[in-house]
Amino acid sequence: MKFLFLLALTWGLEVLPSQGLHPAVRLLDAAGVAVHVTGEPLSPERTCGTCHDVVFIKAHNNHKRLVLGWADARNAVLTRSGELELDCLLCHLQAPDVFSRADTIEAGQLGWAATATLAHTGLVERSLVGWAWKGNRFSPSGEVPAEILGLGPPRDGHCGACHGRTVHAKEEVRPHFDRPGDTLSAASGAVFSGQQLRHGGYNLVGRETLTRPWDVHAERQVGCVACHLSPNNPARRLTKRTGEDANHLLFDPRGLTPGQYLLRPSHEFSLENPRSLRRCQDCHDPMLRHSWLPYKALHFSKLACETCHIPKSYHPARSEVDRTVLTNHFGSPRVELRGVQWDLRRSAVSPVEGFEPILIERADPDGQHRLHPNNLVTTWHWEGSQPAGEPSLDDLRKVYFDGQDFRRQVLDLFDRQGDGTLRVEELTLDTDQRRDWVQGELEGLGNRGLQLVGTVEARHVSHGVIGGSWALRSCLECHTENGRPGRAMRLTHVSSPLGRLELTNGLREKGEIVISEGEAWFEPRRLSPAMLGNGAWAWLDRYGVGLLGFALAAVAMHGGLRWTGHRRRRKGL
Amino acid sequence: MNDTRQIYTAYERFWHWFQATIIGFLLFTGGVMHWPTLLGDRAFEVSVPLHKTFGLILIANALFGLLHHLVSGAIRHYLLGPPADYFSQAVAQARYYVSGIFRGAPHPFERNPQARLNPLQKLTYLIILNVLLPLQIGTGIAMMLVQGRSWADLPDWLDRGILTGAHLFGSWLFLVFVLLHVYLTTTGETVFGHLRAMLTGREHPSRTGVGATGTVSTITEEGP
Repeated sequence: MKFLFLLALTWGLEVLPSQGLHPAVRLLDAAGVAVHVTGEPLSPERTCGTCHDVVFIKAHNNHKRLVLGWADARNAVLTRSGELELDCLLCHLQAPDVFSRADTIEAGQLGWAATATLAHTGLVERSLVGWAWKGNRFSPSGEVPAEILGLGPPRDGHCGACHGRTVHAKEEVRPHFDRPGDTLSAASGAVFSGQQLRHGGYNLVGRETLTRPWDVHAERQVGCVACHLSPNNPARRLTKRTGEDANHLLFDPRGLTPGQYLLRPSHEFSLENPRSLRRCQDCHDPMLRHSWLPYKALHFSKLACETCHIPKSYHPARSEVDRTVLTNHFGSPRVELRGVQWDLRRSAVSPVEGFEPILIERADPDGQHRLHPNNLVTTWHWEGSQPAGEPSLDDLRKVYFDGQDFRRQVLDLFDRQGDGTLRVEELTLDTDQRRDWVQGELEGLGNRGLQLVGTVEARHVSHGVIGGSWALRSCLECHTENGRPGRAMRLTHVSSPLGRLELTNGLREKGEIVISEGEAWFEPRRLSPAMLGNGAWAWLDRYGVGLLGFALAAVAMHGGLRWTGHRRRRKGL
Repeated sequence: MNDTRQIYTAYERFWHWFQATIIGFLLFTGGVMHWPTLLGDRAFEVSVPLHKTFGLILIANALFGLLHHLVSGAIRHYLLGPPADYFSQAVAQARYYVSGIFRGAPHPFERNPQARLNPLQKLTYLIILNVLLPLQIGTGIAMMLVQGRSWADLPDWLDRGILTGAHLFGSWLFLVFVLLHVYLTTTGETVFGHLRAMLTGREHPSRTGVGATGTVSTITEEGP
């Protein structure tokens, strides 16, 4: 009987539609007319606005500012046509074509961007002027069947398209540093995948023993939206109210119905908004575990969960971004990575060691200052006074490129090997001659008061979480003189490039830059001298040892004199 | 045995050795916590709760000792006496330690069951019992409460750093005290004379007379 029940249940699950509950959609253009009739670009706002309150969504959407801002930056110097709309399909389509969309934006065809996102659906194909609709994919009533679009809530892959590496368990995690949108992975080494490290496409050092997944949440089917949630989603909302007027409520029964939510879903996925970010403690109670840990409350008041549960990042991350040079005519800066022995961009078999995040104190929403794991990224750039800020990308292109090729003067100045080509490592302003030449060229383009500045910023490492024996358990990881809390992180060579290195505001009070053997390091401020074993009382120990030594010497001398006197008396002297 | 007399009661001897053992454990586990790499991760992990437990036992034993001395009247051994008398007696005792002891001179004070401590021992114990031990117990308890989050917010002038530093300072002083204490047990008529007295509780009257005993060590062993 039980077997039959399980069989029925399994069969039932298999026949559930994989596309969810979304109905067929009539795709509309900006005028509200069906696109397969007019041939005009898709307007997501008109299309989705048929059922969803787009005005509300646009007003409650921090992604809108980010996505549109990014697009503006990408085609700032290109010819523009049409307007870029907020593209709902980018996150809600089953298989959005982010590359076609990016290409379309870079080509300045902003109005076609959302249409290009549909390239994988077979509804459109490239044409000479943009994109052409394929009418045979539409139903007779002009609607697109739900199974073609697969509309639904965003999955990990959607987030990963812009934020970093999210890899399905059946895929292989491979190094792809030149693909667009690797921001989170590049900045902090984040990979959100349930796959075991040893199975990935990286040449990880000691990979055969790395039986842990990239992220334990991904392994256990806890996706991005489980923690980065819509603040008014009734199915996922945090039960505890955080408003001052109702912070005594453990559960607030008032909430939207599913229908109300689907009409007006908030898209404020801000990390600063406590209602849109589920923190570790919202799901886990650390006090109920960690039975081996003494002074749990004290440890949890000083350490973020990530400090022990992200002991190492196995994905390389940026250590330096040098925007004073361009490595190609698209405007890519020189990027240095930490955690890899060679250059992954040139050799996929480069041994990857990963890196240990640096622990830096920061204030949590509860007001408590805790140590969090971070990666430090140094960004080199020119800082001008006239016009204020950084010279434009266009000016830098003019300095380095003639069309798609490096200028003759650049080759003469930077090509150390004299092979007629420039490698990434050759492109750095590490001599006065190179720096002064580039500065002079930029000044010739109207930039005044230029200074070469390297700003160091901390990028929080919050993915790549692991538990069990892979998490830090050894007390000596922290409670030693060279323990993690005070351990420095290498920033850069002091002369590559030749510029002024400075800390961003958030870092300035957390530590200082120290120079050691030609390299710049960030050394965190020493923590409380109360922390056992951190060597803060070494000076007192020196006095203590001195006092003990003095006492020993006094005892030895006193005892020696007693012994001598005793012998003399025995001999009757 | 007939020519010996009782110097320490059974309880006083038990109390002394128990307290000595606890102090030894506290110094050892404290050292492991202060230099965690000394014996490795496991030793550090074990030492933290052990140190706390030994500390609590020491406090309890100290309280029992105080109660015993108050009730039995043995606390009179620790009273300095009139200042004028005390000063001259202390000078005589100091002169014995820095010169007389090398020449085999008689001890300036006779030890007996009614007066077991010489003037320098009294002063030492005044400091140990009224300053050093309360300092260690006080800072130890305070750190325990802070670490256990019972005191979430300490005043600025009393942060955990100061507590730790004071506790560490006291530990070094205790270590020096233990060294001197052990050495001074050898200043009896024989090297192990005082040690034997603290083990058996009895001492020969002729050996407690002038010039034979009255060292700091004898009283130190009695403890608070």
